[in-house]
Amino acid sequence: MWRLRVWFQDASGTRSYTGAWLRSPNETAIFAFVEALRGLSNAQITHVDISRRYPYTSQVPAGRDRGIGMFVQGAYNPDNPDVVADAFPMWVPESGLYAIRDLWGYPITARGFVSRAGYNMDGVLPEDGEPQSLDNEYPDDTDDYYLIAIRRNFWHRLLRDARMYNTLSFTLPDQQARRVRLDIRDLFRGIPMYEILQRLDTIINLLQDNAANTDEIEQFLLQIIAALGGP
Amino acid sequence: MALVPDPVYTVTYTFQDETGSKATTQAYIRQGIVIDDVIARANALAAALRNVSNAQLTGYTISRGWTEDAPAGAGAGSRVERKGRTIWLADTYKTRIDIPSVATGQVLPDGALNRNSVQFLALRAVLLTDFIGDFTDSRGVSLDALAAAYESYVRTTPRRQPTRKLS
Repeated sequence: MWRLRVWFQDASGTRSYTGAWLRSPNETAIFAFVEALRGLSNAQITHVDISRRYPYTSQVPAGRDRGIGMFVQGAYNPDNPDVVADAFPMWVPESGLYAIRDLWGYPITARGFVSRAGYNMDGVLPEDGEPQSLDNEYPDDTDDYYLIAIRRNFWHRLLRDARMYNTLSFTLPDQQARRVRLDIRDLFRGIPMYEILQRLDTIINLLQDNAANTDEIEQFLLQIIAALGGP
Repeated sequence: MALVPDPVYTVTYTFQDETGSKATTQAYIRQGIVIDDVIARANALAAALRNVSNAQLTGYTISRGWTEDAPAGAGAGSRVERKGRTIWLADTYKTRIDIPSVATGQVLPDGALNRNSVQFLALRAVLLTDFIGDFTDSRGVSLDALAAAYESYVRTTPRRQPTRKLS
């Protein structure tokens, strides 16, 4: 059965909902029900939603170290197809980089899935773009989409640290609390690995060409230290 | 003042790993597609997700929403804790639909709702006659009669309910 919920807000700002069960998500019936409630209540109706859960028979879970596969796909407005209008991120638990590659093409795009704002993800072909992993590659911002594989243990540590720091920030004076909040932001944003690797490439090239001097190498190393969050 | 549909159906997939931990992920399907196609697409992606994860895919929920674009504003003195409680029969089983902050004009002096008001008759028609078979109880049995209609508060106990529940 479909569960219909109609949300109300009263003069004090308190919210509440009422629900009904429907055999199908018949829009005409839903709107008629909402209008009938509107006539009977003196609170305001703010929104309406309907949902239905479908059980699914799947395999027995096995293993717990495959990490999280994440898929980020650009979405485009047909009126302005050259500009990325929205992004569709999808992460899959207990999955890996090469497994989640199977979601490209047919399952996501050819089946008419869109971004949350409703923009198309058309025109993406399997094998288009470059899969990315924090393990062995770095994101290329010229790609339409990229994949990130985060080891499960690292993800859990990230969350635990963020929670710990966030609690700490409430107990500190303003200045230190701000520093902690910035740390949390950096924690979630991650280190810009591609910038670091680009500079390492440059250093290697300079060394290989024997064109480097100490000042140049020092400058690049300082930039790397700064990018890693050093003083 | 109108209900504006969200641009997408949201499909929320639920996973469970071997430790019992649960996780969800979401995908979106454009509005304007018949519901059978939405279900088919959600099911196709479920199969694909099952294949790329070694967790168990326990199910998925399809949801859709509408937002009031210009709410008229709540009436003075409105309180959502004050409910208009309506009990409906589905076969012999009962199902409840509350009306948050029921308008005071709908409540009779003895605490029952006025079942003969234009507004209440409209609700009754929607649930029982205008869309026969659409509105059901949680088991999927169609609503077929009104059993009770009265004012109630969040903390109203059965002993404190109005003595007369049908006018």
